[in-house]
Amino acid sequence: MKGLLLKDFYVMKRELRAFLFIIVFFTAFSFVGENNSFFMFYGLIMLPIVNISLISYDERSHWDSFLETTPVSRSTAVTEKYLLNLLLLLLWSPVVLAVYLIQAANLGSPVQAVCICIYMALFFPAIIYPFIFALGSEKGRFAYFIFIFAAMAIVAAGVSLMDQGAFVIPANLSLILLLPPIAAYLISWRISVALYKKRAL
Amino acid sequence: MSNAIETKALTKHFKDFSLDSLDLELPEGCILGLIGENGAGKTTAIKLLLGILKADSGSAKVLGRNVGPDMGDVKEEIGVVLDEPGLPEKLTVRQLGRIMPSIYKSWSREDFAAYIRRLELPEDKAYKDFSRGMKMKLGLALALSHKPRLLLLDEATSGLDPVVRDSVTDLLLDFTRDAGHSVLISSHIVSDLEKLCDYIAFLHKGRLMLLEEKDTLLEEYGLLQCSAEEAGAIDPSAVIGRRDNPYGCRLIVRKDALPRGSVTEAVSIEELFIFMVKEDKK
Repeated sequence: MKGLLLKDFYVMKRELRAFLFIIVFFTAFSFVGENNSFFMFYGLIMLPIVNISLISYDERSHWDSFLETTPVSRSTAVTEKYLLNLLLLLLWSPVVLAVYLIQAANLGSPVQAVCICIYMALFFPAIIYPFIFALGSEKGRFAYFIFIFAAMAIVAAGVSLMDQGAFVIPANLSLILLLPPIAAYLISWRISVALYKKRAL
Repeated sequence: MSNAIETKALTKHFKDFSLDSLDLELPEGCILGLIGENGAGKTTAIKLLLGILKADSGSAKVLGRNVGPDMGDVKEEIGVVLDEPGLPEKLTVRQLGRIMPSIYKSWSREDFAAYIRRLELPEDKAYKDFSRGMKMKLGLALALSHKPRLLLLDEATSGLDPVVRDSVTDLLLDFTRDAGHSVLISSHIVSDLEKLCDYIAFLHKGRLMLLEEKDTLLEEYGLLQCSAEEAGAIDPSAVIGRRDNPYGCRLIVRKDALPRGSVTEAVSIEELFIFMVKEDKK
């Protein structure tokens, strides 16, 4: 597992600089003008896409076939990608939280920001990843585009409501609200493992 | 002597191709060359041995254990080099050297460093900038550095220049100096395998045509040049393959079935393979 994560961090460092630059740029862009808090959460939409890009790189370089020749099981290969998504969330969430505290105090409590982070980083990949592991990143791209479209629309709508003060998550309810995305993520992981085990490589 | 690889009637059907009832045996400590033209089923056979593909029928054992979905422990003891080694393009040798110890329990940093030095591979150059020969050499270094007992090489020498092929041959010969080490190497370049192998298997259109000790093959079969009339007098069961030309015939024959006093020339494995495949196509 550690080796797989290390490999993905090396690949991200060398191949996905553009992605990381875009994430930083849009987060910074949220400081410009008014009602741009949508861009604050942009990075959280992009993180699962970074992960999908890594899966795509694996397929293109035949790393997935290489792993089949090693003691690494398919279950471990899938688990690593789910874990990597959580690690990226863990690394990026403090940035989102900091930006939120600096510029969006009028949007509600920081608990809301954490809640949004968890939803962004868990719920959408929970839907998209089983398609990717079942069909491969190329064929799964259709689901990927639906994901992008849905994610953008939901985030834009949600942030717009928050900007207008029409949508405020009560702080004491926020933690309960985290359960659905966490449950969805765990179920998605089990489904992806089962589907990837059946896939012909 | 136990077998490193043993398959019985191993069969896999695809839409447009079948690997049909493959019976292979590779005794421990030996090198088996799996020879076949492109699309003969060599890669399918290797994928079945690794459990990457699931057989439709038949059975396979690798290092004494049944091939199945949970082969993690067995794979600790197998080194594999596929036609495309499958490494991320921008990674360097140094980075791979940091990744691999957590993939193989028995990974040896010292062995890996020694192979990299011996094969003269640059440590900080991206994999994508490697030549085909360098990629294959790196694949071999990775396959050998976790102290495997069995090497499975799929077209690992194809497309390599003679100097690289020679260093690969040396590595494999060094590896099999240990009596417990075995190699299955597939190729469509027969001359490479002729130098290396103890056993030769011919695979043609998904069917095993022959599996024999190399020395026995070279002793048993001969090349006979004769006239068409003389060829007609030979027992047909002794003739493995035949080519006619304006000056007569070239026959690959089983020496023991020829009349006493018949003079044959030595036959190469490559000639034997080509004659057998062409005879099969008739």
